[in-house]
Amino acid sequence: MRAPARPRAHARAHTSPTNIPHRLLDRLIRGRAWIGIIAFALIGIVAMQLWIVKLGYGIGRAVEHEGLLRRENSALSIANDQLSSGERVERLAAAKGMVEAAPGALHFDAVRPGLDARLAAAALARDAQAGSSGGSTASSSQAPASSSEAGSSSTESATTSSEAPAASGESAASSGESAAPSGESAASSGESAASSTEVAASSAESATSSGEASAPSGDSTAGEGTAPSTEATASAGAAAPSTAAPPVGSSEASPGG
Amino acid sequence: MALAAQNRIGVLFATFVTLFVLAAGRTLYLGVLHAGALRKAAHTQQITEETVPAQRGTITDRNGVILATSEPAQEISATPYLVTNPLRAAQQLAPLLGRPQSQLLTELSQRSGFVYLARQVPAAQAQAVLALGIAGIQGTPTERRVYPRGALAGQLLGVLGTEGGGLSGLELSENSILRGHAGERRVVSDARGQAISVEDVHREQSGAQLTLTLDANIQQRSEAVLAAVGRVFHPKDATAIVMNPDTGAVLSMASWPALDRAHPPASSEAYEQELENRAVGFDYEPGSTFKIVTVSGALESGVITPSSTFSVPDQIQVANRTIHDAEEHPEEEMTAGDILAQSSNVGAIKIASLLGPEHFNEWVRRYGFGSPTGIDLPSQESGVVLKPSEYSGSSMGNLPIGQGEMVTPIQMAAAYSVIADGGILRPPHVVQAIDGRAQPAPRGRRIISAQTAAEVRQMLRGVLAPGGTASEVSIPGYQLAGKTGTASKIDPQTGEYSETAYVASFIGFAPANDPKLLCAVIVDEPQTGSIYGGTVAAPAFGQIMGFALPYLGIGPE
Repeated sequence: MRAPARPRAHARAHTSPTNIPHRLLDRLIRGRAWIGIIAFALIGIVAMQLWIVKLGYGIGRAVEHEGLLRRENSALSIANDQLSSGERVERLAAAKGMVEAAPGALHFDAVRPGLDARLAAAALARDAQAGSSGGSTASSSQAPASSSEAGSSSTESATTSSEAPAASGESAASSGESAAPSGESAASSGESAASSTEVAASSAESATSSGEASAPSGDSTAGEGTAPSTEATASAGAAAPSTAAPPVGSSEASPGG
Repeated sequence: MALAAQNRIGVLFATFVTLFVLAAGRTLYLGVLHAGALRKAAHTQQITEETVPAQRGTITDRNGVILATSEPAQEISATPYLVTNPLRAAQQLAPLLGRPQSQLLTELSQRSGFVYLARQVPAAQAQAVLALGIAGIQGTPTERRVYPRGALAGQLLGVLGTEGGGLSGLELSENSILRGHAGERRVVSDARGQAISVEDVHREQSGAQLTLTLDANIQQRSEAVLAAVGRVFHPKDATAIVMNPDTGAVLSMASWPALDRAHPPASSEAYEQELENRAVGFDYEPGSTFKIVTVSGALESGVITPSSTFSVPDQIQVANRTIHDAEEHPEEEMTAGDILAQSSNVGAIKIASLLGPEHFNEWVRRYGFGSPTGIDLPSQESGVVLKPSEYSGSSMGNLPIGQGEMVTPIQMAAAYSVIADGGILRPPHVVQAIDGRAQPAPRGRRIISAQTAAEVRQMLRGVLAPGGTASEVSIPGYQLAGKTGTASKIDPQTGEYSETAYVASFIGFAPANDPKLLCAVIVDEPQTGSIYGGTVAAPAFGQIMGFALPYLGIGPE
């Protein structure tokens, strides 16, 4: 019978890579260093536990803080919304003596195709020129350009003023043919004419602009689309209750419009 | 000496052994015999599983103005049998909860396990209640809906129930995307109740943010104008719609009387009526505003042209009925434009007779009457439109002038947007974006040619011109177009058209040549002053458009 190979197994354990620190362990256990190591490990574990608990507290506080911030945020956004309410702003403005601008009193700038682009290009060119040349030269060279621009604007003003009476006259007559779309005016009398028509339309502030300008497309019947007189506007704008009596008619009659 | 020392050591040893045995016994009792109960108690006291309410989505207007939002709140409840001194608790709670002390005392004195003391209490107020530390009083986190602009667009936005679900309006129709999903959180607390561990079992998911096409300022102006109409004419109710005809986007949808969320009417019937969004839920006979369907259908079918003239007396016999114009006049030659401008019933009936019942019905359906418009709002009515087979002999005397069919204000606004938008019918819509993602605008379909639409637009300008039925309305600088309507209502007592109850309406747009804005005003049963569309509804149209056009930067033509 053969004896079991126990000693050989033991020898293998000694040489196994997993048992490399064996000698080191032996030395540790025989010495006093292990006390320190275990103490360090225990302190580490306790410290880690404490850190985790502290972290938990921190998270708890953060969650509470988040709730608080959410509440504050909601309250502030609600307050902001209430403060910016148009009704409130109107009330405050009225208290300061402000009045709402009538729709007709507003001026809308319209782009004048071609002309605005040309003016802008000229202005840019002037700027570029001013940048390249010296200061005094630039100012002197700018002067003619400015005066030429002023000239062009004064031309527009002149056109405006010449057309304004026509517009106001029409307004007074309460006939005011439909406003001629600027595009059509442009087509008929060129870009400068278009610009002057627009300026006239906006500055005159009558319901319509030049009646003698070409009629808008689709206008076949004169008199339709007439702008009402100012008096009519005032009465309608106030939403005043009418005292008109209910219609009299048979039960089969529809009151119509 | 040695004996005494040995005795002392023995006593000490015995003491230690006794203490050890006691400690072991206690450990055995706590750790084994009583372990289950203690574990359960610890779980209850230290570990709580909280429901984290989802924040309901915010509703804003097109410019980001908050119309509805949610803020954290608490449900304050009590476990009455844990409240040791109900009287003292009631005294402390009454001022904080804003409830009568007697009521609270009754609730706290009952022998039940649970009772709500106040629901959806604002967080700060709830904090003050819980800080009292009254045993048996607890708070459950929840959300509270807040409408910063008060009653603004009340019927459109709707209301929530006490459980946080939408009951009406957008709160109902968009409930699934607004509500979000509540989360669950496990919190471990220490002996002092401070959280030492917070774990999200599953995170809450906030509801989506809804951006509407509405403009708060136009909405506010519309409501103010309707309120003025209410003060002057004392109608039953009134509604106004402002929309962009090019897209179908609704900029304002106002109803009067306004919804008062804070003080709902006592009766549920009255409350339901107050909640109703009349712009989509009010069925009415449109009267003369319906004549555009007749005229545009006849123009598109080629049976008339804008220059066609008709010999129009002030009354006409259709089967057994005699239909009159609103005012007596001698027989006169009128164009289709004159018929619309003067709102001649006889003229409209003559035009419809050229179309015939089948074609007329086809046009009514093509404009979308008799079916929902497709607007993204709940509780919309379809109206009532007869089939040609249901027509009586006199139907072609009634229907072309807007009697005998029921429509809703939004259907009429959509129909007029066809004229304004060059012949395309677009479903109106109020939701612009969800969580910042723009929603595609509903597709439109062409129902009349651009030329016919332009011709009708031209005719509708005559309504606001001298001699037209709304000639007193104007906005300086702007060309307006529209149509008045004054329709008698059926008297439920007699089944006949009433001589005292009318619906006054005006639907129009501006600028007339290239419409950018459309407004419909419908006033139900004006009681005092006047009953005509031209004097009741048209001035309101003028006021709303007079604000909205320059506000939106829409210049005169």
